[in-house]
Amino acid sequence: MTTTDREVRIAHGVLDLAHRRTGFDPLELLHDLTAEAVALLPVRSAGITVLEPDGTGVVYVTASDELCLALEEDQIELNEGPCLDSARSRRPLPVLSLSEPPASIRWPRFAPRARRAGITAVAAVNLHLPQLSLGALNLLMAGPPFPGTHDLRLAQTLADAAGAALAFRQQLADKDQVLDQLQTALDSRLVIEQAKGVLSARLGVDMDEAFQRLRAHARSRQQKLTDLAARITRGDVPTDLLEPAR
Amino acid sequence: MVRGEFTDLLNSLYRTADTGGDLTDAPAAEAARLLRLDALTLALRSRRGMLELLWADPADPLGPELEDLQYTLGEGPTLEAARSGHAVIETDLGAAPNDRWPLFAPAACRTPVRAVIAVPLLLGVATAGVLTGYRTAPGPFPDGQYQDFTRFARVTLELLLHTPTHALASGTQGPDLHRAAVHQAAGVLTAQLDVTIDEALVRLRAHAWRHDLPLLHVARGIIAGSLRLSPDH
Repeated sequence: MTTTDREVRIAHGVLDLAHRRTGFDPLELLHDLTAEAVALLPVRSAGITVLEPDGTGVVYVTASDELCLALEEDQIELNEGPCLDSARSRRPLPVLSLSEPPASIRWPRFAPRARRAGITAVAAVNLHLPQLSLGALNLLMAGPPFPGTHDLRLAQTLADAAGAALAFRQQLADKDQVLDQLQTALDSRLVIEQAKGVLSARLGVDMDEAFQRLRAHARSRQQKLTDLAARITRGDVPTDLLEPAR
Repeated sequence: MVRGEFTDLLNSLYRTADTGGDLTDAPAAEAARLLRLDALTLALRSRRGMLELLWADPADPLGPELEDLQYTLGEGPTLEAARSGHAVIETDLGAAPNDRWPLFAPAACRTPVRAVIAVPLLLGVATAGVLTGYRTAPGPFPDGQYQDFTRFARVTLELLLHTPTHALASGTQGPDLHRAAVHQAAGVLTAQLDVTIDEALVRLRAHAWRHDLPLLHVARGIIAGSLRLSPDH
């Protein structure tokens, strides 16, 4: 089997979407997805709309060009259109001509608007996003020719590649948050051990007793143990903590 | 067949991690044997960049001893791996260049350890901690051994991230903070000498180094009142 230039181009496009440097900009990735779709498929434009998990609030809109961007925003304004349908249903949408049913019935206001802009047909594939967000990649055609089954599968593959990069990024962000909590816990622990030492020296008691006093004091005053400990290690020991135990 | 046993251990640790298990579920002695090492340690990095030893074979003091040496002297492979974000390997501590770890290398050579490998546990660009392996025989770490070590490091990072934060912060349960007594002793010193915690830690480390004593020995002496450091240097 020999490899064509187009196949090499596709493989490169998929890799570019799926594999990004740590800390990449997700918005840039989605814009690149629209550019790859236009470069590799028989479409006039490509746009993306991302919605909140409940399917209403708009998180983000991008497109390969101004015309498509305007049509993505029109869909939001009219609350109808292929990109919203695909995003909300989490399903792809086959190629539909805008001048006949079902498109003309399903989108009575969007279809004429898109036709006036020179768009003859639309299609969409679902974008799998982390944290339950909804999204779709919208394909706009000024043809024929229209994308075939294989073209739509390629579009889905490109969208899935971008989705994988976004999922990995989210996973990393989640772990980063966990690490942050872990390091905060370690810092708390260190300062508590240090405060135990200060109290044991000031009160002439052992570490267990020092810890009991520290905890009891924080609890009775509804203070955070870590805050009280930090204060003590700075040399600022509350005077009533130094009084003999009741 | 060590190879198959190691793969079994890795798989079982990934299953443990998947069900929320943490470092207390990982057998340090067993892992060290399968990695053909004599000691394994894992340190968590605090926000301020301090490394605190959280995991080692509880029955073998060798790993903790080497980690405490680095903590005392402020230099060594674990610290270097954390600072650089890269793996650090020394195949013969006895023959290391004098400027590599001028204090740590000779001190380490008074223990049976001769070779060391330290790998940072990286999360994106952040360093969560360091996994360090010690071997009593000098010599290179062959490719297979190095790869196994980094694979093991990845699963320990997953387990580390499952450390219960409340237990770690309060010290009631969870992993044992190996140098807890050092921090308690620093607290005692701040009260006795009227210095800051950072200064107290420096004084404690300096005393251990000057008198060639284990750091924890000095810490326990200060806590028990059997050792008092003088107010001036």
